[in-house]
Amino acid sequence: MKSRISSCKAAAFRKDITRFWPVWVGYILCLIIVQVLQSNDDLNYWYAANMGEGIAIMGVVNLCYGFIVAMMLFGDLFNTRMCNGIHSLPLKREHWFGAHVKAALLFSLVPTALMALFSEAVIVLYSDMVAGWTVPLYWFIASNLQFLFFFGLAVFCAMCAGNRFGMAVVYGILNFCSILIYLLVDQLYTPLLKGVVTMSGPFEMLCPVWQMVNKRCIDFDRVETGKTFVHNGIEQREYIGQITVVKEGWIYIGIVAVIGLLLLLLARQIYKKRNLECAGDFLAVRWLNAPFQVVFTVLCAAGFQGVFMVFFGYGDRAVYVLPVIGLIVGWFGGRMLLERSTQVFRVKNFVGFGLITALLAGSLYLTWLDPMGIETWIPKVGETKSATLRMNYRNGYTTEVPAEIADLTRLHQLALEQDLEPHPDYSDAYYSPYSNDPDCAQIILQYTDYNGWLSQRNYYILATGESGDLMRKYTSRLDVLFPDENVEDAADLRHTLRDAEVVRVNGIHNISEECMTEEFLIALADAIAADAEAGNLVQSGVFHQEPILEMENPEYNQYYLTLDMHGEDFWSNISIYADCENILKVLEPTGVLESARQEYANIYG
Amino acid sequence: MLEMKNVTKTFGDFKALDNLTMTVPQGAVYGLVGPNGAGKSTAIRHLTGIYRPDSGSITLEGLPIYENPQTKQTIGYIPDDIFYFPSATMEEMRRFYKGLYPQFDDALFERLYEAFDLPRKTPIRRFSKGMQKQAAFHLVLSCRPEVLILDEPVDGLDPVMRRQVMGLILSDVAEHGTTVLISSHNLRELEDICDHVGIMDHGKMLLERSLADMQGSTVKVQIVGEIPDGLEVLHETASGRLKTLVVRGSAEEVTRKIEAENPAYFDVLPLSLEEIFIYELGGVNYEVKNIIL
Repeated sequence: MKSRISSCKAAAFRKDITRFWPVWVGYILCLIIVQVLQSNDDLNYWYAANMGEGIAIMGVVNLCYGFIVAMMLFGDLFNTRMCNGIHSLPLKREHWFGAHVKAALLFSLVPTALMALFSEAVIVLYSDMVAGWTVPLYWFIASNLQFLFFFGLAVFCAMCAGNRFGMAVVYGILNFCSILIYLLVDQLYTPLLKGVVTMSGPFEMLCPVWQMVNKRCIDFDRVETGKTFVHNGIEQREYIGQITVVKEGWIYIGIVAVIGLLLLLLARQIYKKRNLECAGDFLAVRWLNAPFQVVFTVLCAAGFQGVFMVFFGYGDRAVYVLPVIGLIVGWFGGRMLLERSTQVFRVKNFVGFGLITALLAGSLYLTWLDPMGIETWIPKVGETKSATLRMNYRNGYTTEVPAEIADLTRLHQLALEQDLEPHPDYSDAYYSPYSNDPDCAQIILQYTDYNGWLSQRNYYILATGESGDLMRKYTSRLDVLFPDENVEDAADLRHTLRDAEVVRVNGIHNISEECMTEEFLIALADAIAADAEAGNLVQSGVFHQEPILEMENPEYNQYYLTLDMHGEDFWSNISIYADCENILKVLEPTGVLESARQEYANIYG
Repeated sequence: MLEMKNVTKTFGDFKALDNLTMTVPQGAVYGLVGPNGAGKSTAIRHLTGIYRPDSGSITLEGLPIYENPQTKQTIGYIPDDIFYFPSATMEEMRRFYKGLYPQFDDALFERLYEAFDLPRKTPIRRFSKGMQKQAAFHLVLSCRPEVLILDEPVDGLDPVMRRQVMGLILSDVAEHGTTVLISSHNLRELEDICDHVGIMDHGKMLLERSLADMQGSTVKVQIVGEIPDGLEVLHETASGRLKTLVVRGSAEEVTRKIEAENPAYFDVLPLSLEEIFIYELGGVNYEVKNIIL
């Protein structure tokens, strides 16, 4: 009898494969066409590089393909006729499940294997990348692990749902609820706590497709071979592509694949217990109705509030109006989905809506009261592994030295004591090194504790007094000014600037070639180091109130200059101000300051 | 023997089957009758292993049906809503059924083309409703089932095809001793072919008997004279001196009792199945007319 059952399982498997062949054949063609089109006609480097980088894109592809495959194979559960017909046939549910899963794995394995083989042939024939042949292999493995996760999740959703729309909604919620909740917390709750910032990291961690798109599994680089070749009469250095496997990306994909496998096992158990009469209902598991209603309502509130604010920016009042609209839509929309009826405006449902609205309002009020003291929390030095002070996202100082961490927590305390209101022109003050507010600057303080937990506070702080001194001490440093060049002191800066090919002011006023001597570059390096040491290179206008260039029109009387320096291996840009005496003294003889003065006069004079 | 014992099934707050007990003897042609919403299709979905009962047991020859492929391989089921894969043709469905039912009879499948005259390579979804029903019979009969379960089987078929399908079923019963369960909301439809009947309403079995028992236990009598004592009269009408009685008991027993009173005239008339149900259930507050009209 065992062989009879095997033949039944084989029949179900064959049916799955033949019934949906257009989908997986179409998938093969799409993969190959897209890969060939994005190879940029460079089969030596870009074909393999794009394929490796395509692992991230495959996260999005598998998000959709895993769902489509699961819906095709398990979609019969959502249709009463098909569901009853299939389950009257002589196969156990676990056999159906096994046949569907096997077919689904083939739907992914076969197209990706063909694609990998095709790419292998292209790379072997046309690319001299070091170990380039491994790229299709990595791509194949990563794509299938991603598929395993998304397919497992989609099958789990299929088992929880009673119809196709329900499956899609549950799948969407499980994939993106963390991002929607982040939007809700960040835009609704966090603004009630002054200075507190919601860190997106933990929320992003719970959004697999986000992680897959942002975590690399393979890195590509071109390295010099030491050989040269002549192209169009010019001798050029020869480069060769090489790959580096990024362990972190693979660990993540491996973990989610295991989760996908566990979800498949869980889905199998749910399937065995499933009441088939639920075909067509929104949810198949009755006890999920209440949690779904609550989650759907909250996410609708978050979606309305977050998505509308992010994409349309409706102003401050909308912050609290949109969630209420979202609550109404979410609660009654959820009821409509669950009851499959529009007749949901009953007293009982209004009571439920009142309760969830009260819950939201209560939670907002509680956040505003801040009983846990989140707003006034200052980390203890002994519990803090590292602290970072930033004025913008490029230039920041990170320390693990307890005395310096103590200084930064003191700055934190001063910010709380000063209790400054944000400048109305928030974004300008935040991103520009020149603040419109003459008194205060925005700072970002980040702390990492010994458990790896990251917290952040954004404050406005006075640029004068003790807070100003601390700011100058930690942000007018060479390693903050040149974060990408590993510059610690004047000697490092001399070494870096020695290779400078261009030095210019305000992007267009180049120092002439005659002036670009080694002595000039050394003098410039020393001058920058001296001004940094003096605390005059804090990259914010509020610390430098004197105008660098006197203009006739007092309305446009405050100007700073940018100093661009770049060579073969570096590119850097700093702002210089009137109090940067040492730098100005070095630049004055070159005539670039005069050129800049003329330019400003022409524009604003 | 196909058996349901004390089966209860609830959908939300609605009790679809209420302690239902039903026995289909081996080789019987069993008619399951009841008004719309009586629970016939739900009972059948339990008998075919689709639904899991909340309580009670469903067995075929003592073996459970639910999640038991070996048992289900012996059952052929034609639902009220026909099952086929959306783009499948008859030939594709034949291959699929052949994989699932080891006893699938290819020769019979070919022979049935003569009876039904269905296109081989046209997707079944393009068939008319009646043709889809024929296709279902074509496929299921080719599986050579030991038990055939048919839910409203002749709905949508024209009278000629109805007769032909019923003929096929009966010849299958005659040749192979197939047990057949047919559900219908119309008693007249089943009268000619069933030897056992069960009447359901509100998820319960109201009555379950063999036709022979029922016809042998109730008689219609026309009599001129006094009604003898000891007759269990279910129904009585009078036209002048002529009384028409429906009496519980065998024809012999009733005749003996009436002859003992020496009436001026009497005659024993045959009762239709319809009349038996009307008089048997007449005392119960059920809408019997729903299953007869």
